[in-house]
Amino acid sequence: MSLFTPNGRVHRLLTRLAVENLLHPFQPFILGQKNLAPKIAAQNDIQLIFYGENEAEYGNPVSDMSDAKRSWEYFTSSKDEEMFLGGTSVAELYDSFGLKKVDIDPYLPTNPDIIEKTGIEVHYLGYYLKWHPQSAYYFAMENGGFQASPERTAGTYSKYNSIDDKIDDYHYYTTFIKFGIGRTTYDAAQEIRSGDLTLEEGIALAKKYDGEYPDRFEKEIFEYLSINKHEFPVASKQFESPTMDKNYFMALCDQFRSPHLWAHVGGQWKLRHQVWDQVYDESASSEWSGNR
Amino acid sequence: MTRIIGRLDVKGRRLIKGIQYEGVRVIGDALDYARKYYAAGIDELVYIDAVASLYGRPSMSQLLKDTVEEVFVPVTAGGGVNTVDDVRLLLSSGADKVAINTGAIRNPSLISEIADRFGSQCVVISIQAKQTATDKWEAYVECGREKTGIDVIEWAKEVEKLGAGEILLTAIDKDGTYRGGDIPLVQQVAGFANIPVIASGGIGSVEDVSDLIDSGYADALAIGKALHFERLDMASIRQAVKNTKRGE
Repeated sequence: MSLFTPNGRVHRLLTRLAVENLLHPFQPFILGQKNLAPKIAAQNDIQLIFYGENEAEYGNPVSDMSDAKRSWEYFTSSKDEEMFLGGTSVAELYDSFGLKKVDIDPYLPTNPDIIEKTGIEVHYLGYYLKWHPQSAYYFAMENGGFQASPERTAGTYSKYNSIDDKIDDYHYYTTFIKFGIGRTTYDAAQEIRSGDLTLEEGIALAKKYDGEYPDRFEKEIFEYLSINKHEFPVASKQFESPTMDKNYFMALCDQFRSPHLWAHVGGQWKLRHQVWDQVYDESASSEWSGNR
Repeated sequence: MTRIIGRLDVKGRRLIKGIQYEGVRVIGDALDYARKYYAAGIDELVYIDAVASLYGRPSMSQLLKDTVEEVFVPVTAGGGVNTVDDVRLLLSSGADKVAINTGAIRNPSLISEIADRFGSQCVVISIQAKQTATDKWEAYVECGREKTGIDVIEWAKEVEKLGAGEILLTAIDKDGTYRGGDIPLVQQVAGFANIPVIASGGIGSVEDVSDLIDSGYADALAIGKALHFERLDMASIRQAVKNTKRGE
């Protein structure tokens, strides 16, 4: 078993940069998730890697699902200089942010030559087994003493899926800003596909919860995203506002609202198109047969 | 007498069930199950519409009308009740009582208004109790999704004062788990309440039935999943009730 723990301070800086430049607080997490396994496999002469569900479950092109294997283009690169982390070039991370190669190594993809030589393959379990979070909930409940979360996740109605990461709340809040769809839309779309929810209920839930600002971990997250001069003597000088607070965060958000999605009406941001704008029939559940 | 109540959570006309108010699945047609429990000798039925609060109004009047054509035991209807008119609609559709949670927490005076208009006998206050510490429970609304900051014990005392006729007390942590009822919760509420307390959540065995009566002092039990999946049948439940200190 291999466990890799990143340098917490580096991870924090990259997370802040990813927020600042991309409004993507989850990027460093995802890079670790995607890039580390092939690297560890190469070191240990492991030929086959399994990941869980395909990213198409969260809105990536559905054509990605046609193959069990993940494309290597995603996580190989021949030159470090071509790479950006958190929207910042690797050269700049070295020169202006005080990072060294050892700091960013875990986030960088594997060299394609090594992959070719070792013949490592990365597969999705979701290609072979139906990915159904609700079934996983039942299994964990019945066999592992799992408990649903004591509160629903901010921005959605759900209490049982993806409840292990505090930054998640902000990941989905920022998808709502950037793409106009928040955590409720993702959760409900998946549950509708799986037969767990009717379309009408999903729409009503999205109307109620999508894009809700996640304040439950706000203090901790903003402290985490603040790059103070004591812990980051070099990097802290590179930020207009090293301290992250709600005003700064919301101002950043406004810069990432795509004009084709958002309109500024009467001093308020409003989505131009919302799924609940259409008329829907609430009684349609009479035909609902569920996920069996 | 300890009443045994069949609890049917519904979406539209579909009987549903989750675990801890999560991961809801369709079990079948609600009316089929209502008929079945009536034929097996159930004392009462309770329908709780799980999506009515989301849509902001009760929606089961046709299901009620169809049910009371064939099922001749008291039927309680709940979900999305916010006004006296909502109550009137459910009662005139055939319900004998209404169960109210979200609407009563948002507007406690609704309890008195309904009691004054239709009588306390038809006001069942549904409480979704989530344990927050030892001997401490918080009342939740909207299918166990929304916190209220309201202490369950305090709330139960208040609803009795406001004119509630019964309390349907569901332990969220136990719901759908078959891990037994929340004895301390039921004990605390039944301990002071002068109105009947219906214990709900977690019943999976005949021991759970007798524990809630003998140790929890529940006046009635609402059983859902264990009946739906035939883990328990009415004969064994009746026998367990008969063997309690209270008997019958």
